[in-house]
Amino acid sequence: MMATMALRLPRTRATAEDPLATLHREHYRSLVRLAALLLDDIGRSEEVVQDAFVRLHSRFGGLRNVEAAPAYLRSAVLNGARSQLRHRQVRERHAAHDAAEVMPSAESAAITSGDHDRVMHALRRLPERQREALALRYYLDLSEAEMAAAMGISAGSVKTHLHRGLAALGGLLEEDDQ
Amino acid sequence: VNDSTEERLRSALRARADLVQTDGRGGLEHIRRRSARIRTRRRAVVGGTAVAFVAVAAVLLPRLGEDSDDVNTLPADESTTTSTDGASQTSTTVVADERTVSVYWVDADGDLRPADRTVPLSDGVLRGAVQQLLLGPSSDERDDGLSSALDSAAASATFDVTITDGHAVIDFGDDLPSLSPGTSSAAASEAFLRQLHATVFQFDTVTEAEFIVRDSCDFWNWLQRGCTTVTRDDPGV
Repeated sequence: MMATMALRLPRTRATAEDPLATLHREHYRSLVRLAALLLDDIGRSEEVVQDAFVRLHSRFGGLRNVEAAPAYLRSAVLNGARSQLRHRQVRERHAAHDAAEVMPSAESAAITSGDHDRVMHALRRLPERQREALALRYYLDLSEAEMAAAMGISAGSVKTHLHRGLAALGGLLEEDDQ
Repeated sequence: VNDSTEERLRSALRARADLVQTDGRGGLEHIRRRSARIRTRRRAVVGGTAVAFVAVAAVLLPRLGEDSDDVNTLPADESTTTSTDGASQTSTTVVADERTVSVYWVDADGDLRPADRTVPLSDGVLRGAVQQLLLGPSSDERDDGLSSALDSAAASATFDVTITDGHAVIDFGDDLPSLSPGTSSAAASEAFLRQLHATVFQFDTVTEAEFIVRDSCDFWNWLQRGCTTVTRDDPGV
């Protein structure tokens, strides 16, 4: 009748020399870039990714499950980016947007091709979930299962967002090309 | 058209990402410092809570004072109750050693339905509520069309509960996913998360909760969902 209630179970000890440093080296930059693709704001993107690392490190007791950490980080970054976008929408209702912090800079505009700008402009017009799905697939090259874990949705929903996002993006680009 | 769109998108994303210059060298130390500050604050809260609990327990709950491990499992809104012994015509104040809590089952329409359970205070009410959730509905409740998204074998799952400053951590043993494989489907996982959320957040002192399997995101991997911390307003479904 009674369920077995364990007190603290013995935990697996980390064996890597410094899992946080490894994770940081392997994922920090790509996560900042992922966030920047969604936010168009490098400063905010760095904040979002740092927050994700801090949450991971402080809440999960020193990264005892390193294998699960990248998926957690991606999910946390997506959540943080969504939160930032919502805050931005609120701010923009009350004040002019701070263009100085926002990509693309004059430098990037000079470097990127016109087609890249058109694609990024079209991408920003897509719904949030479709934009996330496309960035995860075509920037991070994640599998559908990895995307589902990062986005907190089923693999079937991932397929739907990808399909619709790609179709919508194609439509917008076609309009723009004409 | 799709192939062309894919190629253009991939090219644009990579070109734009390459423009993002970030110096992560200082970031790692910044992360360590912030994490250390959070851990220090947590330890202080846990220590302070333990001291406060022991002090209160020594005065009001001598029967519980021996088990200081329960500090993390007793929400702060726990209170003693009084009763009157009518037979002797004298009013006697007693300390309740049980409390009624709710666990949530799913009815035939897919809606949550609460069911009362009496749990011992000595084990902590949140721990008791989660245990009752794992045990599943009674036969009478099943006859009434109520069910749980957990498989019946989940009744023997191990778990651990801690509460720190409103932050509850339900740490299931790694046996739960194998005991309840049916819960990983989309519909069952959503139902279970709603059951668990309602059961945990019935206590006002819980402000956010982490559901984990042995300190990891394997809980969410089991449910095929992204690892997250749930709040009162966001059950993570």
